[in-house]
Amino acid sequence: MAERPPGRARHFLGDLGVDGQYDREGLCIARIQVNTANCTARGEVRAGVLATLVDVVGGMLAARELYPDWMATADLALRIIRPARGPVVEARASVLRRGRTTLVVEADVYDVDDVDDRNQYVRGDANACHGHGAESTRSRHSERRVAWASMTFAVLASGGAEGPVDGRSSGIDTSDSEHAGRTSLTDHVFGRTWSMNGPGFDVPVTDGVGITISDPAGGVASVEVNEYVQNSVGALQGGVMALLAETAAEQAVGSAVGREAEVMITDLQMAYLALGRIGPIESRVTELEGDGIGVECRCPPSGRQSALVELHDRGDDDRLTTVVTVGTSSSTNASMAEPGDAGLVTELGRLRNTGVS
Amino acid sequence: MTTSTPQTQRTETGRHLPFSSVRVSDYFRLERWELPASNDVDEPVQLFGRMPVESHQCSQAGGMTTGGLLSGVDSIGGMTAGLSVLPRWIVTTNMMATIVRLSNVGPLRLHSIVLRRGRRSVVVAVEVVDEGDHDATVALVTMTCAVLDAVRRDLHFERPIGIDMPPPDPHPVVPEVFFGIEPGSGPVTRLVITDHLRNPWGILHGGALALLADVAARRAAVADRKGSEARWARPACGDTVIHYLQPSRVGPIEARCEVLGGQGDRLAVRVGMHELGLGDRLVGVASVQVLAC
Repeated sequence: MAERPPGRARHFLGDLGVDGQYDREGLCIARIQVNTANCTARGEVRAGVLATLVDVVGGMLAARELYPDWMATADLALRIIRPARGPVVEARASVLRRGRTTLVVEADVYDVDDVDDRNQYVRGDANACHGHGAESTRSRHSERRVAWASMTFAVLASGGAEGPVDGRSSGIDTSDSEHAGRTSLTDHVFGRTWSMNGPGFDVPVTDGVGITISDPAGGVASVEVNEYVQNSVGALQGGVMALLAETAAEQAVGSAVGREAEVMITDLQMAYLALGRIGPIESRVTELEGDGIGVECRCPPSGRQSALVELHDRGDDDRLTTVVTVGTSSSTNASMAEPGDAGLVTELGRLRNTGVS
Repeated sequence: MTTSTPQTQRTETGRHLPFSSVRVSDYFRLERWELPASNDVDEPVQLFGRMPVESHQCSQAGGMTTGGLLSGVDSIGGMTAGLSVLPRWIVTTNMMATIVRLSNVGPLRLHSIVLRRGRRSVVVAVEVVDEGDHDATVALVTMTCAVLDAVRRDLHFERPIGIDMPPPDPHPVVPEVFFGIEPGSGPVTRLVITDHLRNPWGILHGGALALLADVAARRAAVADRKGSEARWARPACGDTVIHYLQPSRVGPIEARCEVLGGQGDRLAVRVGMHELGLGDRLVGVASVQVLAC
């Protein structure tokens, strides 16, 4: 879900310190400072944090494109190309397709070394940025690309009312210094720059949003739904869903390989099926044993494991809210624990009983 | 429900192939059957499929190519979604595939189930297991379909669905030939649309774009890693995300790849697919993980 920052109340997006802007080329750009709170023990930005960043930048772009309609994130795919270490991580989103009922967005994510690099980009040097709408200009900048993401947003008709992202009432801090001479209502609502500022985390982000782990080996973790982690429609923010799925998979796969610290998340594929409104939202993990171990062919490489993570709303009759597949890589050849393969068809059967709305 | 126009197509070896009755799902010899519905009207549609793993359709990793696998997934998942919204029908808008195993024994069994049925979209999960390897999970795919506005009064199905596995082709051809993918190398790969690749509405089958993304990404990876380790000479594709942005009717489709980067045995490749005959419009975008073998 694209986010409306939580008015004046403290919100985890503020503590992440997301800020960004719209540029003249049609892109939306968002960035965060990398710090120990949003990194793993290896000093790499968490996949869930990257997913949050791209969800925000995609949502802000979608909000502007669709105004006065609103939208909900239907799916999000994140591929981590190499570890993100900062010092600044920047996501640049562009529209792939705008349809009547959906909007498809892709985003590239970069490690940015310094402010000057970003300013050079932001000033609108078309030859220095890529812009997916003009592929011939891609990748001419020097920053290091760390991830790629795509998202589909479902369009929610406003019925004539303004969407909840209206910057005048949402608590988004916007800068409208360039409004002079512009007549577009969209331009007025969506200032060229925006920020979500808070005091920051003094604990790891997973602790900060309130994720608790009850069964590491089983990948059972949960998070409460409250104002701090809600989105604009009062449900658990999609980025927190990603953090929860990441934590659950990391714990389960880590327990299986016996070296949790060496488990790296490489892919997140998230399908948002229903809003998580009540909570707690709880994860359940099914590990998927890869074939990279002990086979003559080295495809996939040793240590490539995947996990299916279901996120259920315990307070809403255990409703299935989100299905996530998580790709991981570990630097050990240790075998996975007994995989859940045999139960997966049964698992789908169980989803059958809970998933249709 | 699928129709095709009789025609022949010349292969690279000059042999004429009778593609008149060979549809995309038939090429992969996809058997399909539906779990009989109970009296519960809210019970979601469930479909199963089975496809053999044949050597001419395998990657260097020893299993069905990911593009071929996703072609079968699109057939099964799309039918599942469509049956769940009758008398309307659907189009696939995206697939997110986690490929767990690239080496398969076969046959592969596909199980498709509706996760969410909304007014405007249907989300389907498809699990693929290897019957020849103790039902080990091969892939898990989540696909989203948009519900079409128009009611399809010409759609009639005998329920539960049951479609036998087509017989083996005595003169099998590789997927690149069947799908009209031009020979080549490097970051740009073309597919020529012929009638047997269309669905009943004249639109290019989603499996064809999946196969194109697979072939194009591998060629791009080979070009990118030229001169490096030998195992990059014939890589295979793993996790894949495809967004179907516009229907393709004219072609040719040109896949333009960008190697985004990677580490060790894997590369991430972005594939932008453009329809040259319709103003170069972007019809699909894929992100493909390419793995050294």
